[in-house]
Amino acid sequence: MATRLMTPVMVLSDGYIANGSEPWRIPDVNDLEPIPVQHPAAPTDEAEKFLPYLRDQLLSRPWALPGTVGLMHRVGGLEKEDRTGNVSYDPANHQHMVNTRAQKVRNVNDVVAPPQIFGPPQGDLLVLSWGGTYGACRTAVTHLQQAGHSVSHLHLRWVNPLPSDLGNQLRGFQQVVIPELNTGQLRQLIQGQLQVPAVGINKVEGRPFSVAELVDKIAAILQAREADLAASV
Amino acid sequence: MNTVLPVLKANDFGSDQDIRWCPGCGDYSILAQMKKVLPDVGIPPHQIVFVSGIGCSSRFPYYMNTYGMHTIHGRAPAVATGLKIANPELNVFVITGDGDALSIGGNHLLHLIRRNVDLNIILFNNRIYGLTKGQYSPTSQPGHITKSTPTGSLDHPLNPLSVVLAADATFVARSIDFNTKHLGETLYQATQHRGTSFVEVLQNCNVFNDGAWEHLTDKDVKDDNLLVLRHGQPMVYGKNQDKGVRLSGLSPQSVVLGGEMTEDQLLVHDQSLPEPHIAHMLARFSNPELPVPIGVLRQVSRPCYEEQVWQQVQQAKSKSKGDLNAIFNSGDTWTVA
Ligand SMILES: Cc1ncc(C[n+]2csc(CCOP(=O)(O)OP(=O)(O)O)c2C)c(N)n1
Ligand code: SF4
Ligand SMILES: [Mg+2]
Repeated sequence: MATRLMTPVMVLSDGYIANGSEPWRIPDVNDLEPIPVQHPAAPTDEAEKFLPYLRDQLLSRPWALPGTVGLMHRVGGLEKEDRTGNVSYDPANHQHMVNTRAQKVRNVNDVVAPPQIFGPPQGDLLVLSWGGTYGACRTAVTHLQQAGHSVSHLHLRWVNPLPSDLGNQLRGFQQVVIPELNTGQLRQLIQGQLQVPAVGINKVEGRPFSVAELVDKIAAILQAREADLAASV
Repeated sequence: MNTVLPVLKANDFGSDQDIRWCPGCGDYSILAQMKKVLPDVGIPPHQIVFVSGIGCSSRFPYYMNTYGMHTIHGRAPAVATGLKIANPELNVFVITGDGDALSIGGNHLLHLIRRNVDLNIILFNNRIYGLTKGQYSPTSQPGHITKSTPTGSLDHPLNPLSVVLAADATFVARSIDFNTKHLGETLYQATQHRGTSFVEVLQNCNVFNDGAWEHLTDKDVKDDNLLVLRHGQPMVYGKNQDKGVRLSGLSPQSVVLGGEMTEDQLLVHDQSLPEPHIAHMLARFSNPELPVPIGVLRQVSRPCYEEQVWQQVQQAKSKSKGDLNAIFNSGDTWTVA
């Protein structure tokens, strides 16, 4: 993604992933998708002006390697004119470039497959998770499903940008629960960006969630809502 | 095959961008000298990269028709190190300011220098944060009144040359924006050094710290305040070349030549001394007791970092051909029936 979109990519990890262990299927190197990288070549015509801020259909810029004849250009923090990459102080260009960069990051969703819901796409409750809580969340949801509850699970692998259709996926459920080993970071993003209310299960005790703990807390959330509904009739 | 190389001129190295430094800023002079020196160095623009941090000085790369990276405050050394390792053929310059190099980038600077990556660092020292409109910097003098020290700075200043000598810099020099000929020569010498070369350029910020180096640039007094270092020459200075520096015990001392005091009693400059003691001493010379040295304080040889990295890579390659599948399947693995 970093080379396809020419953007920094941050990989979030956590202590549980770093310290935990589980059997992993070893991939065959030959089955791994290649990461194609292209660098523009030196122009054949000397008069040809290199455009370092020209963008492809995903809005990604060319990656010209220092050392290539004729492609000298400057990158850096000052705003650049679209296409030419000249330093620009033009207000309209600045607006255009800010919008372009934001759209480029959203274009990640044109390359990454959307996340799949585990369980029915509609129901009483969706558990939304990310990172090292995957195992505990998936197993807890499986137990609750086996006990007859209408519960599904969605695990995010890409947190920014959020998947394009995530809002609609979440709205298929009466309630969204986000278990996190922090005080509610993903919950803030979901509520802020998608305006979908969510209930947090949060813990910062330096220990991972246990399956039983999640099963109990999710069951209690389901029960509380049933009691609310019963009281409001 | 012999290819005829085009003869490059100073203008071939300048970009067509508007320069946004204040009129009268010392940065113009450094830019002009750099453009003038590069044709003599004989490297075409596409093999040169200027890497900078943040500050007025760090806008420098935009004004050169080479590759350029205006990076993050204080982080030019990290980017430049990566660049030089990735492609040792490139000629890399780090352009930085007293704030960029010695405040936020202080630790990066030290590690670049101790590794002796083969590149050139030019530090524009105007003893102030210019870009942010005049706050005190790590080289500001005690008592200096600035926007962020309204009742005078309490901080003991850093001496850039002492700092880089402590990191065992292999090429250490100082020059002055006003002294264009000396500046050009010093920049040229820096480009000829293999390893990290460090040049402190005393630069006037005529808007926020005007006259910071006046005692070294004013034509009436400068010659009595400056010591122009020349390799192999006795340390003579003064308007009439009538003063010198000698060692009295372990301490340097300024003396007036004449009578019993002859040139052969003076210190003779040797920039190639393996131990940096004398260079350390020179770096600390300050007015009025002693003249401020300009020129090359130290030039010694030590292996370059990027060269050693590539040696390690070659060694590893000669021992075994990398096989990703083999690595994947090594260690704690088993087959599921
Ligand atoms: C991370 C970060 N911190 C602070 C700043 C604000 N800032 C911009 S330039 C600068 C200091 C520049 O001083 P110097 O390196 O001496 O450069 P000059 O402008 O004097 O050439 C500071 C503190 C910034 N841009 N980024
Ligand atoms: S603020 Fe000072 S250092 Fe910056 S451009 Fe103006 S004169 Fe030069
Ligand atoms: Mg400065």
